[in-house]
Amino acid sequence: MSIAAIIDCDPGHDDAMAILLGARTLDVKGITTVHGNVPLSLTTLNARKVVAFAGLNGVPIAAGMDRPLVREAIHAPEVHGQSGLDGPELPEPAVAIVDEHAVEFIKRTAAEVDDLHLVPVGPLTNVAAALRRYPQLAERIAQISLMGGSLTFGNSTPAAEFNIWADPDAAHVVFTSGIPIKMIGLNVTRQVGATPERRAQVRRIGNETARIVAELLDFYSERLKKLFGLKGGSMHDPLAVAALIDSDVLRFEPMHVSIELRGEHTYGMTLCDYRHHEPSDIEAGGNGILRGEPANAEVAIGVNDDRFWELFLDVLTTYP
Amino acid sequence: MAQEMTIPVYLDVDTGVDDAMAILLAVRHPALEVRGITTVVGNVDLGQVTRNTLQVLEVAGAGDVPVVSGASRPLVAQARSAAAVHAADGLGNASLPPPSREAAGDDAVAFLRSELLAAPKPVTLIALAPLTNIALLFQTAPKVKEKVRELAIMGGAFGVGNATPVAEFNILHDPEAADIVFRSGVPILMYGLDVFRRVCFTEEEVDRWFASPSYLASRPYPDTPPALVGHLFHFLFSNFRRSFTSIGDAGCVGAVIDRSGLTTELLPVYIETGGRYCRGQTVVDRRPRDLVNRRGEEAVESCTAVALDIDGDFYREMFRQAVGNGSTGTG
Repeated sequence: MSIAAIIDCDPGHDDAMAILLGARTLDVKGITTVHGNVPLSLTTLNARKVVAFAGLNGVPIAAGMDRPLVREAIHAPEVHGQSGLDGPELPEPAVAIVDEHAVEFIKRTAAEVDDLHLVPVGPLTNVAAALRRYPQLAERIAQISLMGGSLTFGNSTPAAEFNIWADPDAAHVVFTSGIPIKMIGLNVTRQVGATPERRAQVRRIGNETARIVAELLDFYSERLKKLFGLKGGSMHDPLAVAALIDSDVLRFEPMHVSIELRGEHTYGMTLCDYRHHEPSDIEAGGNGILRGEPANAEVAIGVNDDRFWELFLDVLTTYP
Repeated sequence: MAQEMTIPVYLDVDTGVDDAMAILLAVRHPALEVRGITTVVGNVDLGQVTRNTLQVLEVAGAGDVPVVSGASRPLVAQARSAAAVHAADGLGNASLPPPSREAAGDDAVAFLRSELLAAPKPVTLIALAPLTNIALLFQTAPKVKEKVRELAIMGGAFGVGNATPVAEFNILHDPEAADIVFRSGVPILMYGLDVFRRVCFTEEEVDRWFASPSYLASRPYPDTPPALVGHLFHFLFSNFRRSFTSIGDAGCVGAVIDRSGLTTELLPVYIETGGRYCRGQTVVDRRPRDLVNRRGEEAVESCTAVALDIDGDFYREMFRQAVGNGSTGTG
């Protein structure tokens, strides 16, 4: 049985990859959209376009929060283009969104489905608003596998990663919810790039979906090359899906993560308490090692790039 | 005199001694039509707040007003209790009988959204509690803002605070929510501590117009509006060791009923969400405009009417007539 999940996203090129990977490997109960890479109207339109070109029209899409909980909205058109999904011509969407707010969609689905997983790959506003509106919801969520934050450096600021920086208050709500969390941060996702060689592999698959994916990755990689000097666009969001389906893609360690809500230079940073020497210290509980707060997340510390691409390319072959 | 229409209102409360007085005034006064009450964590925990609200409505003979519970904790901050001010039950140990009904739902945001969107004309919201529900409402359903004629808030202070030297409890309890609400663009009445403290009754007046300790001792519980008000006042007298006390939140309801006893001015209000000592403060810019202009600061258009001065007697009389002994329909 595959894992029941909702993908909460702000497409976004790498969000599109997360949807494609998730739709074939998870039991996707729905896609919820949120403000983020571009405004909500566009992330919602883009989610509909992705399900249209990939033939996933049965997956319900619910639109969610159009602004962060507290701070003003910010977007990243410099990465994703004005549409949020610039690059290839995409077909017009075939299916309308459902007539239900994403926050209510998440709550209702959680009530109906046991062991529901959430895969948030955008700002965490929908999940946070749902947790605050429905205090009992936390007990119904088996796990959250999120793309966001970093064990090391940031991208939006030296310290902060975009998804967390775009709504730090929401991230605080999620990280203090008590729900088991897998945090897939920039420190690992930056290591998995859509290099020219990888994009050539995608093209060789030969189906229409793979052709569109390759063109999306071309645009996205070009932008990240200009912005950050990367060899290939980082496959951030699909790694949050991969974390649930293949234990060999990512390595995790439990630690306590807190979100900086007040810092002058570190606003929106995921402060990971990494005060131990070796992974084994966590189990052994060595003497004299500072621990801080009990762990509230499994933080990704390593990634197997080849293994991810093997999985992703395999899945792409199943599309029309 | 021209026939005046009643004002449709929704209350958001964390009942609470003075919330109870505010509810009694709102449902007893002929000028208001209370269409629903939502509850939020604040003075006491959400379950107790909701129970208290249902109990107070039953004493008031308003057991048909829909009550829907909402947020059980603030957006970002930790919940804090004000049981030291309101007693463990939030009602000064009133010992009211268990309510005969339960809340109509647990999704205050969805309730307010559907009510407001369906309202033919904009309505008034009266928020007497931390602003968590209202912030979630505005952020998840921004369209409702067009349906808010005014949001009357008991909260904040431009002078002295209560929960901290500068912060008032409702704002301090959820500063992030307050920040959202005060920046929402909705017309706001800020009924702060500066006026809140100034609508007072003495012990002697409470005995005469509401209920005396000996009358209360003769009843199994405070079973009428004047008796409940009397009980709440006597609790406050003894809890604060004072011989006079304010009607608190009820004054904010009074200001919605009739604004003529209140002096207000549109002023910029900012919520301090950081700050070492000042978190939760409502920073009200009362500097003279010519000074601000001379400093070259950009003009800020405010839609927050800050209550600067109050005619205490005017609202005392309104409260006494609506919920005191001898008013229409009371026992």
